[in-house]
Amino acid sequence: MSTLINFDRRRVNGPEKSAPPLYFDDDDDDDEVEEEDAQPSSARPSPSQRVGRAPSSVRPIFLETGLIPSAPGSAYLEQALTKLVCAVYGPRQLKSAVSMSSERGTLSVSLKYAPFATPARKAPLRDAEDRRLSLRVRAALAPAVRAESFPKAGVDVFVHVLQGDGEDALVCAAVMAASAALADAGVEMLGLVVGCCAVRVGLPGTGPRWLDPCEEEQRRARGGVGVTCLPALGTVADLWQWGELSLDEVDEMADECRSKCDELHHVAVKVLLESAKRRLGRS
Amino acid sequence: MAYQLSKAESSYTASGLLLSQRLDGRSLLDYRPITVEAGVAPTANGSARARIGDTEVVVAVKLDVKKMGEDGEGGRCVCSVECSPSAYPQLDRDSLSDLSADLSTLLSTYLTPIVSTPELLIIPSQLYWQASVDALVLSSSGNVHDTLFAAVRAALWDLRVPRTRGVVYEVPGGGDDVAMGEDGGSSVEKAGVLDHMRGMKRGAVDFDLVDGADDGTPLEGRSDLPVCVTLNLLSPVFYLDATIPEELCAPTRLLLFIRPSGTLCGIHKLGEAELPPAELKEALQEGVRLGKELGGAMNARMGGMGGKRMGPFS
Amino acid sequence: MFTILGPVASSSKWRGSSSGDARRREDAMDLDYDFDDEGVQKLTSPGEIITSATQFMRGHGTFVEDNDVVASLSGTVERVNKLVSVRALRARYHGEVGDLVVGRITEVQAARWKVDVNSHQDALLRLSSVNLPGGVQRRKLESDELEMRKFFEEGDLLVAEVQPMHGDGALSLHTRSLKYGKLRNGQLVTVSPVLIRRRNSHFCSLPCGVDLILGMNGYIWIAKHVAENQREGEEGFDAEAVYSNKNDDIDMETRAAISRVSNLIRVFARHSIPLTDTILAEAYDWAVQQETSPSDLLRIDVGDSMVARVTALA
Repeated sequence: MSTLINFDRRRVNGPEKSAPPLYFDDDDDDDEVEEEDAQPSSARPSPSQRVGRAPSSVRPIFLETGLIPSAPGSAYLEQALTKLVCAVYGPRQLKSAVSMSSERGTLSVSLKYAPFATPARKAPLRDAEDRRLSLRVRAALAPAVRAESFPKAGVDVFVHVLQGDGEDALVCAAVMAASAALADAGVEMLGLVVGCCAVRVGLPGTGPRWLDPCEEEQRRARGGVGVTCLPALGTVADLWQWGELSLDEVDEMADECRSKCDELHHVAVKVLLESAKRRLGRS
Repeated sequence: MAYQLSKAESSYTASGLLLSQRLDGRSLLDYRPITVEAGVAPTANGSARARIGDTEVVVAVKLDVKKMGEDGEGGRCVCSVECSPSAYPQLDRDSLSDLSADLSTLLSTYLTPIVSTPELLIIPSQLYWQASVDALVLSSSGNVHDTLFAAVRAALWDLRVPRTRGVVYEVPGGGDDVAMGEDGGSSVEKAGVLDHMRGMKRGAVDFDLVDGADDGTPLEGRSDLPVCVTLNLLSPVFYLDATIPEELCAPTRLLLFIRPSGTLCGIHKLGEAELPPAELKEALQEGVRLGKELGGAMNARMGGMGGKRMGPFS
Repeated sequence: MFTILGPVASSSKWRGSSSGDARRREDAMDLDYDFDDEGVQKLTSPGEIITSATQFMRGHGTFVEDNDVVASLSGTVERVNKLVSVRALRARYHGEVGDLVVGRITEVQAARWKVDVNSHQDALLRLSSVNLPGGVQRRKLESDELEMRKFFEEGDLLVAEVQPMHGDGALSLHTRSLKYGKLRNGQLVTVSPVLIRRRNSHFCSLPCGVDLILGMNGYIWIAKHVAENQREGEEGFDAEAVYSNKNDDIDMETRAAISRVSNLIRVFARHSIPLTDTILAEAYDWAVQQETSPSDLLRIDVGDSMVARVTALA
C-alpha cells in the first residue's frame, strides 16, 4: 500500500523489485564468472582473502564525455557494477540576491540515486544520504574549480547514479566523472580531480588493505579511507576516513590511494584528449 | 545573511595566526576552558551539557525498545542536531535547517558504528534499545563540532542502559523445559520462566525490567569513546578551537574523531580549499596526540564526578 | 593543556528578590527615597507600578494605566525632574542623535549602505554622508555611485555618528569627519549596549599603546594606537588611505596588548561592569603586574579576581 501512496507518475519509476538476469550456461565455469565480477559468494575461502581480485587492484573504468547533448558538459562512467551519469550546466546567472556581491562563483553539486540503483528501492525523494554524498563530491571538486573565474555565477553539477556498488567507490567514481564533465563543459579548473578509496579488513595491525572496495567488501571492513586529489598539482583535495584505524594505517592507505590516483589520472586525461580529438575531427 | 568579516579584520586575524598570536592571546593549540556537566535532563537515560568558550551544546540520549528490522541489524542509533536560532541569529530558516541537517548527518555517520554495541540488545535478533541522540546547539562562538562531540561523549558516559531479563513462555503442561530446569523451577509462575537476557536464551520472546534497577548499567567501553578535534588549517600553521573570526580565516578544517587509545574513528574535511599535503601528516599526528590528551582529560573529569549521576542542582 | 571544568553556578549579578504581589499599590516606590544619589537603583519588572501619573510624566520603558506609571521593561528606574523612565538591563541599542557607533556594512544599495549597529533595524549610511575622494566637501557624482564598494563593502567595519533618524525608526549615520570612517588594525568586541555610558569622547587611547572606540551600540573597536599627527587625511584627504583594507605592520607586543584589552572587556562584560578608559587602564596594569598572559584572562577564576581587585580600587 505504502508504495502506491508514494507512487509518483511524473517520474520514471523502476520496477518494485529487481533481480539479476539468469544465464543458463552449459559450461561449468559458473564459478569463474562470479569471481570475475567480484560478486559476493556465500562460500568464501577466508574472510581476509579477497575474492577474484588482487588487493591493490582497481576495477576497470569506462569513461566517456559528451553523452548528454543538451548539457554543455557531461560524462558517463562505468566501473564494474557502478554506473553513473554526470551533467554540468553553467556557469550561469544565479537568481538569489546573496550571491550578487560575491567575487567568487558558486559550485553546487547534487548527487542522486535512481530509485532502481540499489537492491532495495529508493524513493525518489531528497534524503540525507544524497546530500551527504553530494557534499563529499563537492568537497573534492571545490578546490579544483577556479570559482573566481565566474563571479556572481554558478556551476551546477548533477550526478545520477544508475547503479551503485560501494559508497566510497561511488564517491570516487562520481568525482572522476564530474571533473571530466567539468572539463568537457569548459569550466576553468586547476586540474582534474580523481579519487581512490581503500578499506582494511581483519583485526588491527594484521588485516590486508583492499583498494576500491565493492559494497560487500566495504561492509566487512574494519575501516576505510578515501582520498581525492589533483595529481597534476600534487595536492590533496579531500581526505576522509571511517571505522576504526590507527594513524599509521591511515597514512599507509592514504599514500597508496594517492599513488593509485596518479594512474587513474592518466585514464581521465586520455579520455578527455580522445574526445577532444574526435570533436576537432568532426568540426 | 552570513556572518562576514571585513578584509582588514580577516587579514589582522590571519597574520596574527601566522605569528602564533591569536585574537584572545591563546597559543595555536590552546583550547578555551571546557565545561562538561552530566545528567542535566532528568527524563533522559543519559544527558550532558558541554561548553567550550561561549559555545554551548546540550545532548540527551533516550532509549526506546525497537523490533529488529528484516535485515537483522537495524539502525541502533538515531541522531538529530538542532541548531537553535538563538545561536545563529544571522542565519535564515533555510540555512539554519541545512546546518542542522549537516550536523545531524555528521553525527549519525560517525556515531552509529560506535553506539551500535551488543549491550543495546535486549533479545538477540528480536528486540533492541534504540538510542536517540538529540543535540541542541544553544549558543555558538566557534568550534561547534568539538563542543557537540564533547557533549555527546559525556551524555553517552552518563547513559544507563536499564537492566532487563528475558521472559520465556511455556506451553502450559508442557513439562520440563530447558529454561525451566535452569531456573530450578522453584519460583516459576505458570505463565512463564524468567532467565537472564545475557545468557542469550534463544527462547526468550519478551523481557522484563529488573526491579530496583533504576540506575542501570553504564556502557562498557565508555572510557574509550572518541572525542572530536577540529584542526583548522591555514597553511603553514594549524590551530585548534577556533572562534568564529578564526574559523572564517581557515580555508580548510579537518575534523578528527579520536579514541583516547589513539585509534582514529573518522576524518572529515570541511571547507573549500585543498589540503596542504606537506603539513597534512604532521597535523594529523599532532591532532591524534591532542585528541588522546583531550580524551584522557575528559575521562579524568568524568571519573572524578563519581559513578553516581550528577543532578543539575546537586 | 586542557582544562575541563565541572558545572558552575551562574554568577548573575541581578538575582531578583522575591517580592509579593507586584501590582499592589503599596509597592509603588517612594521615588524621593530611591533617587537618593548614593542609593542603589531600584529595579522593576514589566507591569510593576512605579508611581502615580498625576505627579510624574512617563518616559521610555513605561506606560500609564489608571493614573499610575507602570514599567514595561525590566530594568533600572531613572528620573529626570518629573520624567520617569526605565532603562533596560539588556536591550538592543536605542539610537540617539549624536551618538558615536561602530557598525558593520550588511548591504550595498543604490546610493546608500545598510549598516548593522545592533539596533532594531539596520542603520542607513547615504553616499552623500561619507567623505568622498578628491575634496573635503563636494557633491556626489554618478561615478561615485558606481564604485561604492571602493569605499565600503559588505562586512566592512566603520565608526560613524548618528544623525536625525528616519520616519520608520531606522537610524541614519554619517562619517563626514576625519575622525570617522573605515576601521583597520584591530579587532572587534561586542558587549551589551547598556555597559557603554555616554561620555565626552568615545575615542580613548590607553597607555599601553592601544586605541579604543567605544561605540554606544556596544560594539567596541580595539586597535593599534595611531599618533594624532599620523592620521590619514590630516593634510588633504587621501581616499586611498582612508578606505584602505590593508593593515599596518603590527608588532607582537601591540598584538598582545590588543588581545589583553579585548579579554579584559569580555570579563567586564560578563560581570556587567560599565566600561571606562580608567577602569580598563587599571585592569590592564593589574594584569601586567600579575604577569598573566592575555589568555589567562579567559579563565573564570583569574577574571573574577581581576574584577574584585579593580572594583575595590574604584
